[in-house]
Amino acid sequence: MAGKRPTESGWHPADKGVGEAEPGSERWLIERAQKGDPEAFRALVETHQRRVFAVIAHLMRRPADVEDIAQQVFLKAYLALPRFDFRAAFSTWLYRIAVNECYDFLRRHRAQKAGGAAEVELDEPGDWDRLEVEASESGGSIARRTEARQLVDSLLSRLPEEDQVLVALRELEGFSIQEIAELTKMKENTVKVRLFRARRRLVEMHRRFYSRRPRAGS
Amino acid sequence: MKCAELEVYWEDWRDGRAPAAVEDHLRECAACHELAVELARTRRWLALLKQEPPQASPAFWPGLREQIEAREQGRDFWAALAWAAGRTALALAVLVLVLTLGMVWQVTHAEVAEFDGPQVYLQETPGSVPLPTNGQLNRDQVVQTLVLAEARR
Repeated sequence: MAGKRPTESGWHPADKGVGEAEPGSERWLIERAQKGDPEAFRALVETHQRRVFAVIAHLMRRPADVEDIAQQVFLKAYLALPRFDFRAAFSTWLYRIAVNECYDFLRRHRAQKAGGAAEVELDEPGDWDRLEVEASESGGSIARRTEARQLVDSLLSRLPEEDQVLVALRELEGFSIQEIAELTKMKENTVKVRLFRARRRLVEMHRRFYSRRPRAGS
Repeated sequence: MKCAELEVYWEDWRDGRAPAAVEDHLRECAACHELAVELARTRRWLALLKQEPPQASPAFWPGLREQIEAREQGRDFWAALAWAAGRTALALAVLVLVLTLGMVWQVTHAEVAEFDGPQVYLQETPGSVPLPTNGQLNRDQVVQTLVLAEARR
């Protein structure tokens, strides 16, 4: 789109002869969007926004920020779209942008948090018991589930950002190891080992905190 | 299988796709078995974080479109600036080339004039000074020729 004259609205008109993709197919929409067709890009956004929102929501775990980050993801996707060459699936390419955006956000957030924001403490007596109960039972009050969720969130937040993202992609978004490797441009074995070590750190944190506090009834 | 290899195979074991050797090892090694079970327990905790993704608000697309338009306009501005800078650089390059060629021509022409002058003069004043057989005048002959020419004028 660079080098063409913009229309009054700032969008470039779609060129004719965009290729041989079947009209209405994703490839056709991408080709139209690459030529500057706003409606084609809008259709792509609407097709993928739900999953992009889900990925961001699970990676960030801050609902208030999801929409802003999603806008940045789609803006970056739009700007990079002329370079999209169909070698990867469009969804993979889009989720990769989302993952990178989340990394950046988490790093910025960590820098801000280094100033000393309050964090949920995990070594209060009974916390881990509640966590076990809430995690193992589908019932429980909303308040207790929310509290347990905060505890797990705090636990996960103690991992390095890259590990947080890997765990969230695997456990919360249900991506396969192969998909995560594609999204993060890591080797599959690297993903497996990093996931294993991240989980082991979670377990070690659990053991450490559990051994510190007095056992119930003692 | 060695205990250290569990970190490569645990995800496969979780998915039920690990080699039989992993199952055998977990049956034989109590420490690895305990670790594998504890790791599996993290999955239950983490499941608490699953949530329905928030819905996009009605302002999502208009806001996105606005940002895209702003970027496009900015990009067009810089593209226009780059275009103008490119054309200016090209014009300057052409100007420098023309000036250089002009200077080269001038220098070359001046050397020819300096060399050709006495020859033309000698042709216009035949007989004033006997031409040497080799066609070259020494310094005194040139001075003498110029003095004679000035006197005639």
